[in-house]
Amino acid sequence: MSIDWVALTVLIVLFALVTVMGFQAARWRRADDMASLHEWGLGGKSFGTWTTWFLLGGDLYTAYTFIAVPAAMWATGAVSGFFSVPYTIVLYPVIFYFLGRMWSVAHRHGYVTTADIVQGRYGTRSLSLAVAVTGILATMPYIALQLVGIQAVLEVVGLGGSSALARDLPLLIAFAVLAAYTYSSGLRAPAMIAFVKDILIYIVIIVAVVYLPTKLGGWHSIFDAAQTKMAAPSAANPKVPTGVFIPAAAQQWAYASLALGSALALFMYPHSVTAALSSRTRSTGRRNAAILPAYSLLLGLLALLGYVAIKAGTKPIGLDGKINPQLVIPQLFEDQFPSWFAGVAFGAIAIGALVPAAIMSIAAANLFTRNIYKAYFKPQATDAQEAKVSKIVSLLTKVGALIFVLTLDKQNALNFQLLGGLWILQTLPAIVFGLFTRWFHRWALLAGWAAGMIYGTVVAYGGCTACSTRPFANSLALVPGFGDAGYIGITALTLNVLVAVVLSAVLRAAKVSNGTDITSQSDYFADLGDPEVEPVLSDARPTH
Amino acid sequence: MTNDPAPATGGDDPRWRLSPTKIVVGLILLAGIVVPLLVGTYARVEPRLFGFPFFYWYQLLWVFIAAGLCALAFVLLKRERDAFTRRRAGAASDSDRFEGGSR
Repeated sequence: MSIDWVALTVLIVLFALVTVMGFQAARWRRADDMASLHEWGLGGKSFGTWTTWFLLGGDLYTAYTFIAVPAAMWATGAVSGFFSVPYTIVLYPVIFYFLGRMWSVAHRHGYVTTADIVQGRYGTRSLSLAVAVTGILATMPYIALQLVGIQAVLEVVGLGGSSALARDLPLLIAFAVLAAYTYSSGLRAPAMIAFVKDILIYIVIIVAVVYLPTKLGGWHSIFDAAQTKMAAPSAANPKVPTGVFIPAAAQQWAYASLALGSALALFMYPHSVTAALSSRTRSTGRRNAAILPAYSLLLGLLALLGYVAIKAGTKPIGLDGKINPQLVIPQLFEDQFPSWFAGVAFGAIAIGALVPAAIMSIAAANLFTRNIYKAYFKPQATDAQEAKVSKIVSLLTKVGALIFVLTLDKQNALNFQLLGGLWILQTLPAIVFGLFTRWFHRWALLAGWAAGMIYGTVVAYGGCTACSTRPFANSLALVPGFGDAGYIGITALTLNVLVAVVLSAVLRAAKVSNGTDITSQSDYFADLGDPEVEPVLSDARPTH
Repeated sequence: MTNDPAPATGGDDPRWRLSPTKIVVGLILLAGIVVPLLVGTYARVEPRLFGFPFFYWYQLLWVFIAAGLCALAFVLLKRERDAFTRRRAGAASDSDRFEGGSR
C-alpha cells in the first residue's frame, strides 16, 4: 500500500491547526492564577451550556468509538455494535437523576473528583481510595485506545511498514504534541479543540450518510447485504452464523444489559465527571442531557456505516496483510471519497482521539493528586503543588498509555478497556447512592465494591460465552440462575448492590460508626448565585 | 434522610424530600430508561421506513423521544426550583424553614 499524500497533507494541516489552538487555549478566559486544580484541571469551572455540549460530546463520543462501533457492526452486527445506540439513549435519563446533585456538592466543597465526593460523604479514606484507584485503572486502557484510533487512521493513509520506527514515529509526534498542550493549558485545551473536532465529525458523517447510500443503491439494499452477511456461516466456526442482524429472544438480555451497563458506567469514569463538573451552573449538565442526544443520532448513523462498508465490499486489510475490522471505516472513506475528503475524515478521527485522551489524562491525574498524593502523602499540599503534581501525573499516564500501545497487542488494549468498564461500574453504589441517602454503610459499600470487582474479573477472565482464546476478550457471560447471556458488569453490579444492602442493614443494626459526613442536605442543591453558596474550598467547616 | 450521624447542618432541607413533581420527573426518566431496553418490543424487520428495518429506525427515533423526555423533566424541575427560590426570597427575613417541599 502506498502513501496517500493528499489525504496525509490534509490530515497534517488539520492537526497543526488544532495544535496551535491547544496552546492558545491557555489564554482563553484566562484566570489570574492557573496554578490550581480548579483552573488547570476544571477550566476554572467556567464553561457554559454550549462549551459543555462540545466538551462532553468530544469527550464521551471518542475517536475509538467512531472506529470500533462500525467495526463491530461490520464484523458481527447488532449485538456487539448497535447496542451503543440504546446505550447512548438511556444514558441521558440516567445521568439526569444524579448530575445536578453531584455538581452542587462538588462546587459547594471545592471537590474535583468523584473520590472527593465519596470522601466528603463518608470521611473514609479507604473507600475513596478504592474509587480513585478503580478510576485510574479503568482510564489507562481507555487512553491507550485513543492512540489505537490514531494508529488505524495512519495505517490506512499508508504510514508504517516494516520498520518499527516508521510505524510508531507519527504516533510519537502526535503524542508529544498532545502531552505538551495538555501540560500547559489543562482542560481549556480539549475544550477548545472539541469545537473543531465535533464540527468536522458532523460534516464528515452527514456527508457519508447522505452520499454513500445513493452511490451504493439505497438503504434497503445495504441492510439486505448486511442481513445476508450476518446469516452466513461464520468463518471461524461454520456451525454458527457470522453475526446478529436482529437479536433473537435469547440475545435480547445481552443487548439490553450491555446498553444499560455501559450507560450506568459512563459517568463513573473520571473523564466524564471532569467535563461535567467544569460547567458554570448546576443546570448546565441537565440541559445538556436534552441536547447531547444529537451525538447519539450521529453515533447511530455512524454505526450503520459498518453496514454500508459490507455493501461496498470494503476490505480492511492492514499493512501486515491481515484483516483488521478496526480499519473498516478509514478504508471505506479512502475507497469511496476523493483523497482530500478522506483526509478531512482522518483528521476528524485523529483530532477526535486527542480531546478525550487529554481529558482522560487530566482526570486520572486529578484522582491521583487529590485522593492518593494529598490524602496519603502530603495532606498540607497547596493549590499550586496540587496543580504541579497533576500536570506531571497527566504526562505519566499518557506515557503509560503509549507504552501500552507500542508494546502490547492492540487486542489487549481493547480487552483491558472492556474490563475497565466493568470495574468502573462497581464504583457506582459508593458514588451515586450517597448523593441521595446516607443509609448505606461505608464498609458495606467497600465490601460490595470488592465483591463486584472480584466476581466481574474472575468471570471476565474465564467464564465467558462464545469465548475467544484470550482472557477478558468478551463482556458477555451466562447470568447465574437466569439462563441467557448478559453483560458481566450488570451481573457484578447486582451482586455489589446486594452485598451493600445486606451488610448495611447488619452494620447499622450493630451500630458500627458510618464515618463523618461533612456535607449537609442543602449542599446537594447549591447553585451559582444561591445565597448559601460560599466560595469554594470550604471543606474545613466544623462537623458538629 | 436517615438517622445515622446526622449531617452537620440543614438536615431538614425541603428540597431533599420527595415532591409530586419529583415523582413525576422520576417516572418520566424511568420510562426513558426502561422502554428503549425492552428489546423484544422492537426486534423485527417490518415495517420498514426508507429501507431501514423497524429494529433500526425505531431505536433512532428513540434518540429524539429520550431527548424530549429529558427536556420535559428539565422544565418541570425548573418550575419547582423557581417556586422554591421565590418563596425563600419572600421569607428570607425571618427563617429558612418551610413546610413541605411540594408546591
